[in-house]
Amino acid sequence: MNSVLDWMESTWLNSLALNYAWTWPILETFHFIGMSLLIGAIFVMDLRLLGVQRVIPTVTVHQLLPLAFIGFGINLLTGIVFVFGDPHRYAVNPSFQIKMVLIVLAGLNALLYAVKVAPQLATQPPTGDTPPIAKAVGAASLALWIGVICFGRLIPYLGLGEL
Amino acid sequence: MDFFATIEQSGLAQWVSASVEGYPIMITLHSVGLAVVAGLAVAIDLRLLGYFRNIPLSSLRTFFTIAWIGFLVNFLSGAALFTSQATTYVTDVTFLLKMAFVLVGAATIGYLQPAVARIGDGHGADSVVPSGTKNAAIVSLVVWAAAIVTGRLIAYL
Repeated sequence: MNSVLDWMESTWLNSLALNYAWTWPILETFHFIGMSLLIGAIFVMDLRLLGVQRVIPTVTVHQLLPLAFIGFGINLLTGIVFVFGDPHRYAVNPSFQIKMVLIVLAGLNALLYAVKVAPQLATQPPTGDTPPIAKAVGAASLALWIGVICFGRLIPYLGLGEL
Repeated sequence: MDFFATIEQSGLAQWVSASVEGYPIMITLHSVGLAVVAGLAVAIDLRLLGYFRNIPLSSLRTFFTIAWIGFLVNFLSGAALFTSQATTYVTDVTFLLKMAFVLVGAATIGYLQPAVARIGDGHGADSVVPSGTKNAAIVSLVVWAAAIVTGRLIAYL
């Protein structure tokens, strides 16, 4: 583990993150913009899963997925630079660890949606109510992503982690 | 300036600046509210500009409401954060710029909400969104991005 962290610290990404005063603030700003794009798309899709605004056809709400993926992509890339910039502290930071677990759970939840829920919705009237499993997946997604924001923002405050 | 110095001495300000949990709680709420208001504003703006056309314009009503809830969360958490450094913030150019962008952003949502309601139910045709409404959506996109940029940079400039 330590050798991986040391290696991360020796990469050019680490230099990029630390050697220029503007790298971190600029990437943080993009991280917030990516977060907003992701959350905007997620809220609309998840609320429809919960049965809100049934005039929106269930499966065509997928039109919002590119927005979600662009937001997630921006945050994956900027997030990787942050972690490479300070690998030893992120690795032991409890808030960061919880955030990563929540992202994985949100990913599994999305997988469940793609494999189980979306095919089921495709067989039903597009503007009808949603089945319980759809509501559960939508609620879980909302809760998980809000949790990701909270624990992401709390990284500097919950256990700084010793170097 | 006395006024802002008084605010800085208030119980709320002391809690935010001196307690272990005050600032982290408020800044976390501020991040969630930001994602909700800016995220939904962007989704609404893009819909008005012709993307995601399968989403009926009439359904945007709900998302305007939720965007306002995000705005309220950030108005309140932002006010709490402001009290902790009131005398510094009132003279901080980056902060004042951010406030201007947020004000214009809120104004665009306030303008778009009834404008979209007037359009009524349009499933497909992009043409039903008047050009004035589209222009407001573009302004909204730009100022919310600018509000995020300047807001984040308050900590650095």
